[in-house]
Amino acid sequence: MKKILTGLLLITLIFSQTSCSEDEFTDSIFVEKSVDKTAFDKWLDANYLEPYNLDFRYRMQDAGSNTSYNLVPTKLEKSEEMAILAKYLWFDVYGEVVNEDFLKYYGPRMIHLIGSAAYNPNQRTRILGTAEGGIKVTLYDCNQLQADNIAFNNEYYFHTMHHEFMHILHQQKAYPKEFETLSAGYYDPMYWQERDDDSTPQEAVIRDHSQYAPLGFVSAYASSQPREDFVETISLYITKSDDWWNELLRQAALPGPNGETMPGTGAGIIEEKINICKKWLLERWDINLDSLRQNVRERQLHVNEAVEKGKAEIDSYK
Amino acid sequence: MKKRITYILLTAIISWSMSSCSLTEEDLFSESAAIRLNNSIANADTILVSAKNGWEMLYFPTKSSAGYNMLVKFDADFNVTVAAQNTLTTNGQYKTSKSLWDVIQGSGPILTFNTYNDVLHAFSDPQDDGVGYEGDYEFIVLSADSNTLKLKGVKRGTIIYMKRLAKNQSWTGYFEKLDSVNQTIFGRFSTTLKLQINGAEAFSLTNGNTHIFTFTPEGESILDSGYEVPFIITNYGLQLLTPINQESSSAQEFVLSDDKNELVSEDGNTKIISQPASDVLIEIISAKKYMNFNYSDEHMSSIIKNAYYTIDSTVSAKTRKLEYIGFTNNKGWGTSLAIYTTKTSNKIEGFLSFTISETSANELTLKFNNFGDSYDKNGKTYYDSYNLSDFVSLIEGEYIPTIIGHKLSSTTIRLTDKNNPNKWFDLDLK
Repeated sequence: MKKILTGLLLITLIFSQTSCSEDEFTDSIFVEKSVDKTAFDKWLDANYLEPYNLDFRYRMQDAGSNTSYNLVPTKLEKSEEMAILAKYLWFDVYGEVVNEDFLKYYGPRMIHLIGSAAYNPNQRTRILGTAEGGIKVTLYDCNQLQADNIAFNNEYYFHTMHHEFMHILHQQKAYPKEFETLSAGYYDPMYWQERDDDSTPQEAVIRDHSQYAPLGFVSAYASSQPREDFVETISLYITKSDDWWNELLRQAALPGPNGETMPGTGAGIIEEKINICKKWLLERWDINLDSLRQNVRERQLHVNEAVEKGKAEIDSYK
Repeated sequence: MKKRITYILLTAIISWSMSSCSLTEEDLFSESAAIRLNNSIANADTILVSAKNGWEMLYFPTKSSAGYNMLVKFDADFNVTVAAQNTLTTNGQYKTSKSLWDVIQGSGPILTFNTYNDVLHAFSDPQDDGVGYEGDYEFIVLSADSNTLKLKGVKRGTIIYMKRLAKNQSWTGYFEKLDSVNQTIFGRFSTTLKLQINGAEAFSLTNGNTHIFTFTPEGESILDSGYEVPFIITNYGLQLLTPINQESSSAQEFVLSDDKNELVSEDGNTKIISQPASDVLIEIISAKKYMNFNYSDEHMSSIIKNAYYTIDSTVSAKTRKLEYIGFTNNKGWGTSLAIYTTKTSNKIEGFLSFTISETSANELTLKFNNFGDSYDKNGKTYYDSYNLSDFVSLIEGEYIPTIIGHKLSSTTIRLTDKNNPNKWFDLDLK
């Protein structure tokens, strides 16, 4: 009797383990549209996707952006110019100055272009770019790109690209804490924009730097918090002209907006910050900041040719 | 004890094994949700491209914005052409722009215009204030057939329809037609209209020229009960952003009647009609506009014309030029008969206080208030020395007003003497 019961128990257990499902696998739900790629798409594949595994997203998806802002896509011709210039003044620079693989390892995996700026009307500020987790760089206001206006483009786009990329780098290898001590006590995350010169275009060579430069900052935004200070110092050092720097340092040597006199003057602090940046880039990343700067400057002289060449390349895919 | 435990365990397992498949339900859909979504995307793609002359897009940037018409043509290579002509974003000029489109996955198939289009994205661009007109450019496709797509803006949730454009409809002609319909409904001065449901007036509709009606229930005040309903002009009439649901009838699309005197809903139960002529006249004058006499055979009877001629001759004899005589609401003298003459740079307007009142349904009385303690001296001079007194005496009286032209928008009112059909005149908006 006991054996019969044990046998019955075993059969029941085995039976209960069987599945009653007859479902079968279906085709993949991730169906790619069979769309012929445009010439620009093919150029992006050859210049970003294949070498850098980078999705250069010029067809805007609002869901992939910051939906708390009113944003619009970028015009197609501006996207093409931006893609050409980002490669010429950013990716190719690191490829030449550091090595070809550097951005393959450390570069972003996605660049998302937004046509408009992300405005904060209450603060009278606007976001020009963001870097998210070292993966995605978003560039805003791309519809305003002026391919032949280097000062403007430097201020609004290439300065932003280097700025955001430096965020990616320091998120992986921290910058020296010493940097944060040089202007300690003068950072203002809430009202930094009050220090900016509203009356002069951002890209102008002669601007009023008096509210932040004597405190050791290269821009009003740099004075918001140390990590922004760090990447602003590097990105402006790379992209701004000698005339712009000389004017900044001249004003930085004067007393501050409330009569502050910094040890060694604001100009001295800025120079010291640059030295820290150079040392960090060289020792932690094997990047020579002055070589990087020189390379960018030489390339800036040939932007129009680069755009023409890039457009011809795109056309060649048609 | 051990035996009892074995029996209990065996019973429990057998019961459990018997129940496992007994509640299997039939699938509601033959395919998975993802595959159905892919299919609906492909279906939307096909429908969008199938309209060779494009689609009429009835676009509302937000639920509180007026509607704007666009024409949109989708190409199979994902190029799209968008056209518009409006005062908000194209300065009244016909404008087209090309960009890219796609239908992507989201919470349903989403139609997106994913590169900047100068025409469409003008409604979405944040401009300098970071806000702009707040319009969507990504739309959930709620339904799609070969003639109509119902879309919902991803951010604002506004319902937007696209209707297949007739093959032979030229794009510029489409916007000309819209302008013509708009003129027929609202004309030069947008007066209050009435919404009639099953023959009874239910709402007053004001501010129609803004393409956002203010609906006020009959007998209630606009201040307490008025609410806004945006609409869009169509090439056959107008369409409200949201339907009016009253007395078990629902109305959203209105078509101009053949005589162009009213807008009628699809089921015929709801109509948008004009006010009585007397209300139209009083509303225009109350708005401090001028309703002038029109000195011509077609616009006044001989009795009135002769009296008008007498004034004109008197003014000419004094080497001045009679510019107009009409009714208005003057800041100082209230409802008045105005007369205006010029002599090179010397321009003199005079006012005589009048009362224009409705005496019964669509009847009104014109009455000169005579000169009391205070009056306009120029008016009195015209009255005493330019034969205006005879004219005033003549036009005083009881009249039956009628609207001349398309009733919804006409600003010409004919007043015919209640007791003398040979005494009549038209008043035109200046």
